[in-house]
Amino acid sequence: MKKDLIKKDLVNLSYILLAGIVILKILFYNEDFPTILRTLLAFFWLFILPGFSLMYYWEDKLNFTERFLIGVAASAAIIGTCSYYLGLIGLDIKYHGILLPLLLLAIGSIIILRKK
Amino acid sequence: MKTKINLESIFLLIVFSVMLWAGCAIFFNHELSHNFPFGYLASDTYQHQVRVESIKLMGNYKYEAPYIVAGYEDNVGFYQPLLYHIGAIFSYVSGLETYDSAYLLIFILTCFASLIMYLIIKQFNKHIAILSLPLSLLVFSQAPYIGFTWGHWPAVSAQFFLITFFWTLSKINLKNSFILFTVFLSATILTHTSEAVFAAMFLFFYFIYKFIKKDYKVLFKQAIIGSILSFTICFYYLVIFKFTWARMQPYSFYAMKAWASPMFGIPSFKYLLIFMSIGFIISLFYLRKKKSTAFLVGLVMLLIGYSNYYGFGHRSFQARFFWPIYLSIFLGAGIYYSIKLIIKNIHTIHCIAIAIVFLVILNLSTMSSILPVTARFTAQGLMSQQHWDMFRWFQDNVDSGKTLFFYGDFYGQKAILRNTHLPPYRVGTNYFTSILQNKTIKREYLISRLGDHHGVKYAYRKSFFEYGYHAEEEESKDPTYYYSKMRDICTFDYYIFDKVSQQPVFAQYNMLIASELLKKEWIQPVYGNDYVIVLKNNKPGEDCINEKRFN
Repeated sequence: MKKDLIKKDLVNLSYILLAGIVILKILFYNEDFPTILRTLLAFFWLFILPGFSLMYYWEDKLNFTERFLIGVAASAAIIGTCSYYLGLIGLDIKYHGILLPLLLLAIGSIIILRKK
Repeated sequence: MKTKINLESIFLLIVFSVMLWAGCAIFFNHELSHNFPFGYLASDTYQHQVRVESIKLMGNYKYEAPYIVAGYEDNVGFYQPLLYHIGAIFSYVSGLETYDSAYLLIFILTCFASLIMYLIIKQFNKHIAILSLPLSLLVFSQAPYIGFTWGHWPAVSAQFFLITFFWTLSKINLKNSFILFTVFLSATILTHTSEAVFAAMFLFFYFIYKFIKKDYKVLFKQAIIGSILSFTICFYYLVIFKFTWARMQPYSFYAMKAWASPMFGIPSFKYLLIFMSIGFIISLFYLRKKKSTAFLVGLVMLLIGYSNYYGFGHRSFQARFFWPIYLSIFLGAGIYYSIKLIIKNIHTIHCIAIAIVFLVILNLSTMSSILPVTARFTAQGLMSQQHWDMFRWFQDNVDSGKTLFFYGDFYGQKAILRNTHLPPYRVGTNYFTSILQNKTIKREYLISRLGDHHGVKYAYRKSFFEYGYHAEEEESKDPTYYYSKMRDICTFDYYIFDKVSQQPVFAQYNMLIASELLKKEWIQPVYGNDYVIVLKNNKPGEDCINEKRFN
């Protein structure tokens, strides 16, 4: 069941990524493709994947759309809050864009593994 | 079933795309990356742009960058930090400049906010949620649009988290929902604290609502835990807030009827009010129904939008920026129950079709006499390529020194001037005009020392719970007005003159002063383009200009 759900979610996320590329290219037609792709991938990396993985904690109660949308807010909230405090304790913000999503994805993975 | 889900997803994707198109893509000239800050229409937008860039450069937000706060190096980072941090991180990962990354995020988060409101409404009725969604487009109608273009970014992005907080309350029965409560309340506090007050107000009403329904125990428990955790997480910043914003802008009861900025009000909805009024009346009957949180959101945010009459001042007007999202349920319910009178069995496809019609007509400027419509336009904003090149020259070539800006058409929007990354000074425009009329060239001008104290008086930390205020300390030493006073231009290191102006006489006077300064061999032009010239004074303090009258 779990594998099926994750597989289905990954397919859905892939559709959203593809749709995102098409939509952004249409809306921002004066922009070059590499910039559009990098911006979208950055958004996925920072604001979609981390939150979405954390939302597996409630996967039995929330559908894909809810986990996706609330996951975006969760990513932005957690990454922004953690970044503020990590900066204060001396970790330069230039590392946060890699470290924080990785950390949240790791926590998300643990959630997925522990939920049976 | 599968088809239905896909149809709904496609509809949400369409709404998201239309919102991004109407709000952002057209305004950004269909570009994600720009050569200079694009679409920045007011000083406050630059305030945020410079702060995001400064955090990116400093690596953290422990202190304000000196060029933001009149040269002080120990000013505590007093603004709510969350938006700036995600803006800077997004810039690093996406490769966009901070002036593009932060601005783009504001638009994207707003589009997501409308979809999250959709989730809240959907708990009550999916068809009403679909019919409600098009109203969200009006966050990009004329008056609320200033929330973006004039720089109310923290208020706008905090309302994104506020809506997510509302969603959390609607799902308070989820296991350990205090986690979501904590995350979103903390984010609201750390993005714009006023919205956290709105969150507390809503929580109060929601608790009463749940209490009446005898369903308050879970909410009470989760809210207590979540509030304690949020307070703990935000404690460091809340101490700063107490000694800065809360000290300088304490709550005081007063009625504020108008705002200097364009105001969004109930009449702004025009003929949509017919449906919205029906929806509003229906909401009063359905409040008792299970899962009617969305109605409460509409009612409470309507009340908060009018809080200018009971003490929240311009913060209430900022809440109105998102009225098209908060109050969208009234439109959806109004349309839905009106149609129900005619058609008993309404299907999802019907609702989507009607919603798409609304999406179209709310974008038609020809409808603007009877309906509110989106304010779609492309605007370069205050910055020009030539001015940005000048600012970049300073950033790349000058590490220290006092910079003095003479007249420039947009230099009154003072936050722009921080882009030299040096503490800026500026000749007062009225004074400049008066000495121009007297046809004189002088050594002393009325000059403002510019900085973002926002009423917090350049606060710095003496210990964790003890603060000092540079502005107050300096004012006590110097009774003349601290920010604007007669200053000797010869003490400055760099002079910036605009060569062009909408009123050519100002530019001509600028050039006259520049030519007089250049008569001293130790003053040299170091940068120039078609719009602007920069002079360097290699002997600050020496007599640099001959005072005289000209014809």
